[in-house]
Amino acid sequence: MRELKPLHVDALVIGHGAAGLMAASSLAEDNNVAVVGKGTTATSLSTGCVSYIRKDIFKQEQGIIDLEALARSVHPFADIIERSSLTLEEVLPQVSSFLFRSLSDQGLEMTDDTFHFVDMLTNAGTRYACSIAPTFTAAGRLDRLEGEQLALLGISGQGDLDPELVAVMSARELEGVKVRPHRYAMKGLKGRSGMTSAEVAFHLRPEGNLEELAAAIRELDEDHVAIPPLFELQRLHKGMSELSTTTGRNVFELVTPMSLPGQRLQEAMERAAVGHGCRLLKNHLVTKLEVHGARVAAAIIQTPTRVQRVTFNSVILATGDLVGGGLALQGREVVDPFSAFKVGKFGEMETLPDQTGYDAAMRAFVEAGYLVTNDMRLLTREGKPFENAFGAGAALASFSFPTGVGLGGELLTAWVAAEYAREVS
Amino acid sequence: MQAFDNRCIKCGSCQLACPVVTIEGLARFAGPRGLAVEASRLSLDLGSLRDNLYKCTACYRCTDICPARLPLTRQILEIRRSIFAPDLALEGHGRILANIDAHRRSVEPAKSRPSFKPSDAKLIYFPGCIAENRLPQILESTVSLLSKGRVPFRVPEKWACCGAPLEKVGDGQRLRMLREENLRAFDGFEGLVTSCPGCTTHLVQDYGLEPMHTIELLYEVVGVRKLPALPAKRKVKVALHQPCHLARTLGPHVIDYAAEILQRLPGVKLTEMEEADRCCGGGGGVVAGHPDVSLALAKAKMASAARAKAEVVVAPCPFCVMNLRRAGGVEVMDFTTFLDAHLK
Repeated sequence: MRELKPLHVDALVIGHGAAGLMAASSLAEDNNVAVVGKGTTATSLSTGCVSYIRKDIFKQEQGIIDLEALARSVHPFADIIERSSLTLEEVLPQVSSFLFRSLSDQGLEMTDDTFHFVDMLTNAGTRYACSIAPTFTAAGRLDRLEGEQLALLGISGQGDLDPELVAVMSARELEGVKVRPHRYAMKGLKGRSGMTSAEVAFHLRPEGNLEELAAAIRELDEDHVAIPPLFELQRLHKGMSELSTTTGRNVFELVTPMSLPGQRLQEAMERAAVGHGCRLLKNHLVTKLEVHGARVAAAIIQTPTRVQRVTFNSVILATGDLVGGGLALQGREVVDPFSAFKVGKFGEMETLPDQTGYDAAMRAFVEAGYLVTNDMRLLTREGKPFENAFGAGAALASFSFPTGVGLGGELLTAWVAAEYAREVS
Repeated sequence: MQAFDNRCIKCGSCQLACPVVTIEGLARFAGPRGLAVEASRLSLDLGSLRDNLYKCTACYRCTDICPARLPLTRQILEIRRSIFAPDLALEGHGRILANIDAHRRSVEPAKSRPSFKPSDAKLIYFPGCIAENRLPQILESTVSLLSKGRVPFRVPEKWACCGAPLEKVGDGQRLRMLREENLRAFDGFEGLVTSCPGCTTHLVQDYGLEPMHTIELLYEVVGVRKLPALPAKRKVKVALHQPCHLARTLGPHVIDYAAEILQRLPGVKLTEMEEADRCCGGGGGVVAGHPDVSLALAKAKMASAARAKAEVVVAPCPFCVMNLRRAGGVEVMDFTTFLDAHLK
């Protein structure tokens, strides 16, 4: 395979999901940073919403996050609290504000509810609680809908919002809300079935089609109108604003995983990272890491037909968890793709507190992953800390949440990993 | 065929990312998962999916995006090979086969073809069928750029089509024949350069050689700073199209090189085109097999270029240039032609 000229950067981030891009963006403020990644990320399959914690660490009566309970519950967070220079109270707003700024520069506005939870409705008709959501999703927060009339407007032939199903399923979540299902057959797509969200978004590009949709919304009696995600990042703001302003309705998106919201977050974070000066090397697989003693010195990266050696002062591993991430299961063991690092084994670790509600298998599962020290340094297979290799996000042991809980932990650990990596970059 | 279908995690990323699904809808095109995973697993009569299978443009977007790292595109091409029968070939594909048999080119040869001086240079320039017979200005500008960069080269006398179109049609037998003929024609070479990303990719994947694309040679060997540019005649807004077989199969570095080279040209302003790496529809044998699908893809691309207010779309791939020109609306130029016109 043809070898490209070697690349040297201050910091290399492996993994281009939420954690990798956050670490890279943050580090890039004063470092030369490259991010390598391959394939779709869990971020782009997510709901595009962010929660820093599970809802069980939430003081219901005061409506705020119980930081102490949080610190006790999940180990990377607890370590942050233990260090005097970094406290959760300080770090959380910093991470959020950096996120808001970066995303809003790319056309993705988020609500600012870092320390609170808001309840929203998903496209399965269930309740979804999170701290930070895109503004056009948060417009449908449930407390806003109380005593109101809500139209569920599905697009014929597309499954992201099945209005009849959501109307039935959401009945118990939407007490006091009058819900009616509607369907809209989009111009030029009549008769199509099983449409992907990308297909619908593509056909909404011509201005006329958006106006037709707005006209259909104007015909509805309800003041609040829930729609599936219909707009790509570049058209999100314009599309959603127009649907609301030209109809006089509160038009919002239902929380929808595996669709446009996750892709928009991914794209906005990628663009933000590039905007911060990162070199984004997508479609690259890291095939090898060169380890000298307690230092990781270089990585070999590959496209389908080219190979390149990258040297760096520090490296951050943000490769994700067992679900579609960089880790893999082999029998009952979690396999480290780089085989240099110590990995928490599946089913052999300390378990999370019982109040998590996970069953034993799930607890063991979420506790698998890379082991790190208090300052986020990855450990060698023998258990010694690396001088210049750090872990971030769902790749960390005790950190891999089940899906649907939000990317806050990924962002937070990535931010902290970047802080420590900065010291050796 | 490679048995990988049970590793699919059903995330749907490939179906969402597939440009043909977006254009055609799943009712008319089953998409990467439908073809590469589900059809194989359910042991469907794959031949009955012929129409579907030949709509894939082999853009590798699904392969790129798949979190389970399934070689979806390769699998679709493998299935094509397994169902290939010359008498069942689509009309356009039949023409490709006939041209190969008669002329060793994938297209009808042009009336006048450029001739090259014999040379004992160790670097081979592999022109490719489209540049030689449909877009000779690519050939001329590549030759001009190689001489401006003082790179000695030769064009082998008896080169044949690299075989990439046959890989897309699924004809393994002719594919092997062309490979053997070319390897004989390349005799004694120490380097290969191609101006077509399709050839470059195929010469790596099927021949196991290490060719460079012209952009790589200009950037890495000649050096972008050694290419003195002409003063700007006028300002021009350029959108850089990212051919699939450059951006994905060779790697995004080639696009970075191309952008850097263009940015250094006086008067040239790069404008960002939405989804610049989305397939233009020119690949996968779809232009010949399902011209309506490739035209719809090209139109979407050109609409992006128009929205970006580009005056010229620069495409570093002869297939892309040809197909984008079918859609029209904005001027389309090959990268080497555009670059050569701007250099001293």
